[in-house]
Amino acid sequence: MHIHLSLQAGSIYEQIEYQIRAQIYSGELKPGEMLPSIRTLAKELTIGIITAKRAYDDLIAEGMLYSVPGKGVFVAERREEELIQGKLEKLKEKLSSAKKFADENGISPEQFQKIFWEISEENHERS
Amino acid sequence: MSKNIGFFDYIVTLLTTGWNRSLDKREWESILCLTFLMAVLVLFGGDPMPVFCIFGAYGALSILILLSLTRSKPALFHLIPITPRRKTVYLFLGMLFFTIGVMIATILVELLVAGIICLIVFATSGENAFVFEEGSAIPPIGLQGTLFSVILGLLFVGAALLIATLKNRKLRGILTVSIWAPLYALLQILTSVGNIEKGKIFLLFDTIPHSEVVLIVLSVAAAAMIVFGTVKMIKQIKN
Amino acid sequence: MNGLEINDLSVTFKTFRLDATLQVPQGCITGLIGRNGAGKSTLIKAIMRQQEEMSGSILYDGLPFKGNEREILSKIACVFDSPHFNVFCKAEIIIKFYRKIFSSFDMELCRSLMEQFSLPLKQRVRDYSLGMQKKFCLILALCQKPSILLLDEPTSGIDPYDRGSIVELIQQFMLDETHTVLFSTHITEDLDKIADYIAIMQEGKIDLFEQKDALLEEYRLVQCPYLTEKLQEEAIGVRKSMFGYTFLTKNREPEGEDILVKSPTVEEFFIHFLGEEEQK
Repeated sequence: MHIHLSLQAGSIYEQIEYQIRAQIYSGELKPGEMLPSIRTLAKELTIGIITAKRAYDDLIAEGMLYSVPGKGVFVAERREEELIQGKLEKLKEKLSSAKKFADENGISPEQFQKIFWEISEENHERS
Repeated sequence: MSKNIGFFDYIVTLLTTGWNRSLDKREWESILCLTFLMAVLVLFGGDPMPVFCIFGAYGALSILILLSLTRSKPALFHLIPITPRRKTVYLFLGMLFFTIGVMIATILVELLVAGIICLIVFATSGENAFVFEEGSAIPPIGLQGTLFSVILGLLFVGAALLIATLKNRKLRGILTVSIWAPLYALLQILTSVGNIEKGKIFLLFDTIPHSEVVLIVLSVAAAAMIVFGTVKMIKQIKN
Repeated sequence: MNGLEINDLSVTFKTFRLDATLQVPQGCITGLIGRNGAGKSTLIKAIMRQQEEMSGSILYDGLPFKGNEREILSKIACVFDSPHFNVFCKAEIIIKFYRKIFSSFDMELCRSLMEQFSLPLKQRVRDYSLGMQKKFCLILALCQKPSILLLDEPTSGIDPYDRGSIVELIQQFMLDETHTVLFSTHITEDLDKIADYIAIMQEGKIDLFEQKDALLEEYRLVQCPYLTEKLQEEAIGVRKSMFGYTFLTKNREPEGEDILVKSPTVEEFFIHFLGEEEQK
């Protein structure tokens, strides 16, 4: 597990959550692996205990981690479908906020779709 | 539960760590001034000193020193984990031991200095100063004289207690320097002048009437001061 | 549970009056900020029972002081703004005293920390530099193995490198969740990083006490060239400069032209918060 924090890049706990999540998706953090305790995390990153706790709590609520009282916090076992389901939900969330922005700024659904396809194809070509 | 700190460690901590920047300068001045005066007067004030009176004065001095030290804040002394009861007992014991300690130390210094003076006299004039003149030993001062001496000593202790427990730092300092020390000096001078000029111990006895009434009034005053001062002090120590 | 529970604590001397009620949660680091003379040191001294005249109550890990004096004095430790022992003594003598006074004193820890910070044992504490004195006091406090640690300006006058190690020592101490830390500071940079709660003191009173993350999330720092009426309404502690206005707002998405919105740091929050109080 590795985490690097930047003061400029938004709130601390979001950065931690994002990086742990990314490491779970990439398989760098294996299911069942124990993570450092909240207090150790806080000490190692020089952050507040509540900040560290919040990051873990959010990830536990998401089902990415689970905690065993008296033992520690572990990476949750996840089935492939669940993982994909989780990702799809996240994507839906992101897209709906983009759609909201489009609606508020008077961009028509057609224009929105057009831009969506453009982005998809650009990325497809690149990869 | 942790074990208790011993009495000796407690007093040593108080005496050695109390020298803190935050201690009132005036208090130190008065304590040093008092010590100096006592040393000088013990040395040159003549032998027949009213013993009990001096004992009281030493007690007063130690009260002033120890209580002044407990006032320095923040100080390590106040962080010692100890129950208030034990703290009070330790401080009272400390004052007792300190009084005796200071007395012994002063007597030793006096003997040493007297010895040196005698040696110098012997070396320069060949006169044997070690032989004391007959009759200059402590003359009998009688029951009334002894009582008077005891009461004077107790008055010192009472005054010290009252002064040491004053809340106002400035007032405390000024009182110690301006009333306390000269009072003591005056008493010493009176007794020694009497000693030198009339061959009597207490010129003071001749100047003020020391009837039973005066003795009773003085002893009641001393007792009241001590009781009142002690109660105040215990309250402050426990806080 | 609260590590420290201060109820209607009141201390008066001369014209200054401290009137504080504060709950310091156990297992957390609470930062006390305020301007010079706001009463931070007085509050800490009162908690350490160094004030003669005080009323109100303080509970230490739930225990009142009266009747538990010995237990409480062995569980609280403090780094005061100046050394609270005879600085003419050599460091090793002071350590010896501490060993006698506190039976829980950890000599091993003390030795290793003295070495880590390269503090000479045979030197008088008075001859230490200011930073060294601060570090020595902190080492003494930590080696007492307290459960409540109070720090009065632990990082002021100390270079950034040593400040880092002091912050690390405090966090090391916090690895035990029954421990509590309350520290006062001017250097809010340290608070930005490690504090969980923030208390702002002004003129002897606690003006604000909140969780740091929540506080910084609730407010936004706005910089804008013009102050529209709408912005003016929401603005807290407006400061004017040649290039426009800077202020705090509770509105998370303020609108306006050429406007820059970001999360405030503790320092920015503090400055604007006090600015607003003063305008009132």
